[in-house]
Amino acid sequence: MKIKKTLSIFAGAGLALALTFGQNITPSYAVSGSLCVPPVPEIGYRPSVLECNGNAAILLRGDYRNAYSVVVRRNGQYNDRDPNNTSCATNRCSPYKVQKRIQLPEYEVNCLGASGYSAYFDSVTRISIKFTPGVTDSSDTSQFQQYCLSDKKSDMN
Amino acid sequence: MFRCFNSLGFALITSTLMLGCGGGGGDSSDGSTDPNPPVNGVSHWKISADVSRDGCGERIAEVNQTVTMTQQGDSLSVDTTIVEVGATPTTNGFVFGFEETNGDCTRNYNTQFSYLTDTTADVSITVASNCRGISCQDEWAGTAVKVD
Repeated sequence: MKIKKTLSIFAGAGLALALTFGQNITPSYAVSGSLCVPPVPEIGYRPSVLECNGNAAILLRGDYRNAYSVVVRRNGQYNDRDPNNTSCATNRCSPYKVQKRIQLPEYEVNCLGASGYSAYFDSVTRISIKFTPGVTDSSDTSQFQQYCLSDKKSDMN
Repeated sequence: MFRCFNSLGFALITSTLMLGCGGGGGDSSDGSTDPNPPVNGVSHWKISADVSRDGCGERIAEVNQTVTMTQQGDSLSVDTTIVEVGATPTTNGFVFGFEETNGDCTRNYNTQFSYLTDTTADVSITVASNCRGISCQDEWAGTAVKVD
């Protein structure tokens, strides 16, 4: 028996500029520079998914899906830019920045610009989140936080 | 139908997914049995597929993804860890897909498992995009291996 059906699991807005900030994003301590804390359940990671053209994805759940931005970072200068093209700061140039977002009921899928199996990710150490567009104090965990990404080739959360 | 609000976007593309769910495994619509019915119960398959056509000019990479297949009676579904969709049997495997929408733009994802055996399958992935009359297509080809 063949069954044909269409399930709309989500329909939402396109490009909106309004930001809402979560009330529960208050990790116990802050990090900055290259330091990071263990990941929380609100953050997931996939090294390579067909939904992202084979690239890696960061999943954000709960209040974290309201974050302003998320990237992965290497150590050193221009750590969220393509090391072969550090003069370009846009997401299109970077394997570490979000290329596309997909909104699902349980989480937001942030598609990055390279596969977690690629050489680009060998030097990646952390997932970095800005909870607000204007970070004035990177030690303020309501504004900025970094979560360690130890295994770039495995699913996390 | 779920409706959630997206509060992000800016220069990025923000999309939603519409899942077109084919269903059914085991028996075909005329009552005959499929020659290669999908696995019974739950199994995990690791897809390794190289880019065979880069037609959309996006950042694109080899797909290395483990999916979970679940068969319950006549129903077959695939969980990609991102979405769970129904799958439709074919003459030598099964196919699953879904649609992503972003305003006037759509992307249709189609993944085909063919020459399915107990432990392996050939895999073909096609992502067809259409945005205001401009179409392009990315394709991947490779294999899937049962990992449990």
